Amino acid sequence: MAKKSKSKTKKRSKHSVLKKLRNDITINDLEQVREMFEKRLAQKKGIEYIKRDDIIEINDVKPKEALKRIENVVKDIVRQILVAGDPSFKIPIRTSSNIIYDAEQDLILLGQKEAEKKLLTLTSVQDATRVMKVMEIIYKQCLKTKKHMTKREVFYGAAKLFQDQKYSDSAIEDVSALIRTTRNSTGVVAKARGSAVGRLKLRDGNEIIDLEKQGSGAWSISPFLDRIEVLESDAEFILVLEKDAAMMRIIEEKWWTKFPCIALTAEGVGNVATRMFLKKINATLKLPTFCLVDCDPYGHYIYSVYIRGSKRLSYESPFLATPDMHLLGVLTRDLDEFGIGDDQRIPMDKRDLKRLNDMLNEDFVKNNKKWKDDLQLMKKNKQKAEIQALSSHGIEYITDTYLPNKLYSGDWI
Amino acid sequence: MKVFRTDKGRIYQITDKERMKEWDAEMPFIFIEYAKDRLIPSYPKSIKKQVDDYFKEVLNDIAIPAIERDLSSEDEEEREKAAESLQTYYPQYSKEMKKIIPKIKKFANDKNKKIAKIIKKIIEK
Repeated sequence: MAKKSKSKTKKRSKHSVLKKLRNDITINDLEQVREMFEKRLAQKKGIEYIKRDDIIEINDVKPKEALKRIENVVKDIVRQILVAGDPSFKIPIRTSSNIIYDAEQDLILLGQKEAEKKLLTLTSVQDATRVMKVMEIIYKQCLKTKKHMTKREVFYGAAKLFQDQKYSDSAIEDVSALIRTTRNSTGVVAKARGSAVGRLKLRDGNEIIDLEKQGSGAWSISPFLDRIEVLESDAEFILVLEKDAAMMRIIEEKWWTKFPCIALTAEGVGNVATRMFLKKINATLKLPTFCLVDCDPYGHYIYSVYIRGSKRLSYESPFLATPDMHLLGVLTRDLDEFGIGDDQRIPMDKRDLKRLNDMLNEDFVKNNKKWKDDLQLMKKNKQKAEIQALSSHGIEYITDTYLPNKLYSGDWI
Repeated sequence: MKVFRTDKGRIYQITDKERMKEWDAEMPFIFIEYAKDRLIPSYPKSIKKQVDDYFKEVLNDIAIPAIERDLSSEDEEEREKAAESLQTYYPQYSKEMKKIIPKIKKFANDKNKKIAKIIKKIIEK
């Protein structure tokens, strides 16, 4: 009996640090957000990537330039055939041994180590042939025609040779790295997955898209980002959501009418198009940017991919990463401060703990005290919760209470 | 981006003229018409005039010169493309685009019959 009573006391004390919450917050109360926005607007130049000598330099280029670069690679191979009869080309290595974490810019970048692919050796002839085939497909079908292809379409360009799409996908990344450009600049696009809504007007070719007027849905982020351009916006911040369920809440409440913002989601880890789109609107409009993910190690990993890029596409980091994005929530301490009960918390399993330890070992977490502290608290509690746990207070709690109070109090990482 | 600030501290950003220079010739007209019909009426009073003036600049500095430039290009294909674009977009955006008529009249007698025919048709509308 005594034991039961002790447990009840413990449960109450765990939830006793409730935050003082306001329910009357308006956009004009978000002083810290507006101050951040003003500071960014005052910067004369946009937030530009600083070049360094020990990494592979990548440029976003127009089709004409990409064509020229492929022609140069091919000319070099022909020259080698004529001179030595043993042609090869060098591709930047994309494994962890060649990945550099740039603490100053908070980006994951690709070093200068290269692997030589010989066309006449048994060990590399298959890889080299696949790269050459992808180069031919990109040259003839994307760049020459200024059209776009999906990765799947590239695979079917020579399915017998590629055998599996993972090999053509890898060859596409090799070609991009070989000609020192982004995959988007080669005209090969990934399937569109993300969506966006809010106070933003875009140009897609000669059409104007109003992201406020998308009915009960959202605008599907186009994979053809070279056609997309920001036309107008009165947003004051960007909100990146991990979950489609959170996006639905934002849409249903038309939250941007009360808090002028642009909301977007990739429904999980940010795909290339979503990350590029985010980078584009963040840099063009200089808006403070916040991320809302599940309170679990995977949510934090998703946030890390947005701000630093993934290791696989590290050579494109400057074009994909949004390093100045803040983690708004759901932070581990939010679970107590916003009264998330034990019923809404899930014990972490072995996989969660492994990912959590992996995150804690990353240099970019070690260098960020607030982030490290939050993950260490998560490790101590061994509990996780989804964004939807906030709905235990009512479905409008996230839009009416949680988000306004987080933005008002400046409680982010 | 061109920034407009309201008296209540709100910020409106509109794409700048430098960026518009890279657009197809008809796009500035499409955007001007969109701004006049939909954006400016919804803006706070304190910035309406500034934004309206900005779009007048866009019309004179970007939109009209872009059409003239494309119609005067040395590339015959580009000239025909510009004329065809005019033909497509003029009926839809005539309110703004009619301002280019004095500048394109000379092309009604163009040696390229296709271009001359399209321009004549637009002028007669």
